Amino acid sequence: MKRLRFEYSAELKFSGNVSEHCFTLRCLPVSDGRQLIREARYEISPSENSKIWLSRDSFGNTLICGRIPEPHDVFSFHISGKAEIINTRDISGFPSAIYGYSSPLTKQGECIKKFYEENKPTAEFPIDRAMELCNSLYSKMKYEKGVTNVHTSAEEALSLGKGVCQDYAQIFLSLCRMDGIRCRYVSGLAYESGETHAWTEIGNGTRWYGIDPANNRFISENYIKLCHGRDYSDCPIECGIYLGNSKGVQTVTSNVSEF
Amino acid sequence: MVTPVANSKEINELLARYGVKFGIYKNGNFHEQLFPFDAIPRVISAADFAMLEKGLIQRVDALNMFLRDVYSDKKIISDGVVPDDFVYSSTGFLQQCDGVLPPKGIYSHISGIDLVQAKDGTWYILEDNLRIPSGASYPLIARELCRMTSPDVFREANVRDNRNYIALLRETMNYVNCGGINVILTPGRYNAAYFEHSYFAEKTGAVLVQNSDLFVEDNVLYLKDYQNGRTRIGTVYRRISDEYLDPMTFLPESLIGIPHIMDAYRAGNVALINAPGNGAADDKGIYYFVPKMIEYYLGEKAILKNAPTYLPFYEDDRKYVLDNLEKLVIKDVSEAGGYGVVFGSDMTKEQLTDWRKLITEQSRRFIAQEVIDFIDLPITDEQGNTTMHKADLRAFVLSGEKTKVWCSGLTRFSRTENSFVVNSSQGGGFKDTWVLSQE
Repeated sequence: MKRLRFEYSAELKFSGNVSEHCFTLRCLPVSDGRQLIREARYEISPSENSKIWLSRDSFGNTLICGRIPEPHDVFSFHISGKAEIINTRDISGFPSAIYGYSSPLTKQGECIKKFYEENKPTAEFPIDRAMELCNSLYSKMKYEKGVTNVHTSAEEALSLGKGVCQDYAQIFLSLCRMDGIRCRYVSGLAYESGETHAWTEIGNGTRWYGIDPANNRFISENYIKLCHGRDYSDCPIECGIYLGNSKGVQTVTSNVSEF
Repeated sequence: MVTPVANSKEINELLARYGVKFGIYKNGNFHEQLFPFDAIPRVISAADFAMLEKGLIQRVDALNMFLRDVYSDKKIISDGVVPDDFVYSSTGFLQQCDGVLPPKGIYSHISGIDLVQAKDGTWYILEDNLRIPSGASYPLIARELCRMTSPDVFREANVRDNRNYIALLRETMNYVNCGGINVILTPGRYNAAYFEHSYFAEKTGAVLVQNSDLFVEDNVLYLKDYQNGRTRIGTVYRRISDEYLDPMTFLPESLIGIPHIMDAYRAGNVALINAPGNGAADDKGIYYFVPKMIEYYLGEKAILKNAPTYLPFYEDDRKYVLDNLEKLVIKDVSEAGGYGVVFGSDMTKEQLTDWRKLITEQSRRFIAQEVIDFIDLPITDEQGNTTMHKADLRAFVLSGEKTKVWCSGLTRFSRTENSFVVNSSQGGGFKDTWVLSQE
């Protein structure tokens, strides 16, 4: 078992005032068979005249919802807490069939289909087949920032041959689903990474296993999961809508450390 | 024989003056056009209607049970009645609604079931519309005008009064209300059915609202007023499609939705009419399974028949479709409004070959149906001559405490003689539908 302290902050600076700002945050981790959340706090600014409440989506993520009607030019939130990681890979919960079907960002195109045919796994069990696909993908892709964005699909990213953790995760999910494996997308925090990280969970029988395709390995005790969905579009850590024609610039920091 | 209502021309002029219009998008431009009314009514006998009523209640009850099942235990899938592929890969199945039980467990409050009557008198279901079926206001207002122009006809003809639609609609909204007022949510005047939204609001006493009038706090939906006050909303009869309903849950670029309305709905604090995610049950691919659903959930045989349908997804059906393509109608399961419908009889040799290839490659995307030779109804054209046009019937079924069928409906006819496409998005007009109270 490992005890972790986690922190995540984001600040969105607008070039002018915005109002009627509504937002949903998926960054309040919940306990599962792998992580026990011992403490979790959140602060949101501006807090005066803002209304903040909790909700839950159909994937089981906890949502921090809010509405800031008054004009403001900075929006920030800060999450902190303590977690115990009691298990490395095995996450309880029955993988439902919906995770076996392709989702908006993981639809298989020519590129993914071809890659799958050329790298068809040979092992017997889903988890081993998934790891084979992960290996093949890791040797094909090059980690590079700035070439893709959050809306880039798995197919587009694979045809580029480069991308970031979100792209690795979504291509991997797309390949696994082609192989008939139920799997889902995970956003979270990883030890000393400084920003958020994306990885995957692979259904094997009645369990989920965490695989980090961008690092080609099973997840370790140093990961804290924030939310999951079929792909990124199901579970953005932050989404919002507001009135105003200002541009926003976001800065993010995160920290996970042992204590 | 029933005396037809006279004064077709005057009634159409009044309809135009009242703004009874239909909007369509053509090449990206919005056109509002009149929905031509033909004064010769479609007449349904009391015996025929009694059978339709029984069959429609049965069908809508089974569809509601199916929706409740696929968004919770999914027993119909695990029992092998409907393959999971047809549920999960359908664009109508919304994962965001999985595990959410709507108020009173009702998903399809207002169902628009399209039927046709074959020349031998048999009624067939063409499709189920469980999302936002529109059109009930047209026959309602047309009847109102006919009563004014030809009151004696209604005194003599034993036609059942259809004005109770408003009461049924109000009852349906009240039954699922979670505390608060009823509202009708419209995307605005550039919607094809804006006339209908305003008409129902006026008649039922619900408030006609657009998204900017509403907000959510603490998972409760409120109506704003001009004094910074708020009124809680218990039921939203929304005329906005699922994907635009909540930018936080569905399309983030939606400018007509209400942020967090899905959170209020999931928390059980507001009823949405109809429930989001109903597309899982009115998908053209799922249509094939409705008679099986009726047997599965109700233990009864379906009273109303489906048009004979083949799923190329199944090998036997695929073989039949490929061998008989020239006499079948092919429908793309992801299209609606009369789009994506092609007739094998209209295809050239090359097109038939291309379609066979497409159907083989994308077997899940299409369904094939036998062409039903459905009845023609007489229409009076501009010169005053009577011509025969194909016509269908949209029956409106409302589910509140009980499921009820409105004793009228929207009869639509094709724009041109010999055309089989009667959808109002494709031109064409409508008639009043008379249900007789006795033979």
